[in-house]
Amino acid sequence: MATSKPGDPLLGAAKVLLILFTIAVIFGMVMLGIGTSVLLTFGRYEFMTRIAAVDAPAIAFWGLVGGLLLLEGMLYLGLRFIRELSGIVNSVGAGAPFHPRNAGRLSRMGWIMIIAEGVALPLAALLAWFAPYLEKAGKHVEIDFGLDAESILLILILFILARVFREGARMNDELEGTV
Amino acid sequence: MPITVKLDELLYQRRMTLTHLAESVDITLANLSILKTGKAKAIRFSTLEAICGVLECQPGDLLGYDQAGGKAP
Repeated sequence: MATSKPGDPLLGAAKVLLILFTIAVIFGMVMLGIGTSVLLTFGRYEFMTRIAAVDAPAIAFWGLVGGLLLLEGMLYLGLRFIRELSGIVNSVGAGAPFHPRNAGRLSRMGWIMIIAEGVALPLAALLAWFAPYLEKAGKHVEIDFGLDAESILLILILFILARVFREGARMNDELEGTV
Repeated sequence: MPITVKLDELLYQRRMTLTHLAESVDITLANLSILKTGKAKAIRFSTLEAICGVLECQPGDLLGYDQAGGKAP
């Protein structure tokens, strides 16, 4: 029988952290959106002047816009990830974690991670392309490029956990009718 | 479902209500209702033991098998 878990410090901390992360990500998305809009309108001339000063081609402007849009996409993926995790945390708090919905959430989190890794590749490529021009402008850039072991493991863990929860939901369903 | 539950008959014979049985066996009324109406998917031995203890019956008095009532094994 599902029971709620009032006062669970881990769940409480998780909820607070997820709310804070959500606020931070939304704030970042809004700021990035504003920045991109300004760049496309009022800031365009100034940026074109700066890229000319470091001998970068004019297309660098669109490269930057593309990069900002990709970053916005990454933040959106982060927001989706946090929302799915929040759903799982809430279900644990309600005492009913083994539900097919959580299996779906974990699966979607795995796909979000895969998409994020995919989005990171062109972002890193853009940064690598910008790097020499940024160096000319006196800004040193370090790029960590490639799929790291932690990401691969996290993706694996998420998909395996989705299977675990799917099986748990099936067993829970059987238990529902047990007296 | 081929497995039939004859809880209604036993309660009638012993002039006992489902509520009284629930209190005696420490099983929720909701779970006993699930059992009585044939919606249960499984029954624990501990539950069977508790019910048989209070109703002073054998498991075979409580449960029946009606092959015509469900899918063939």
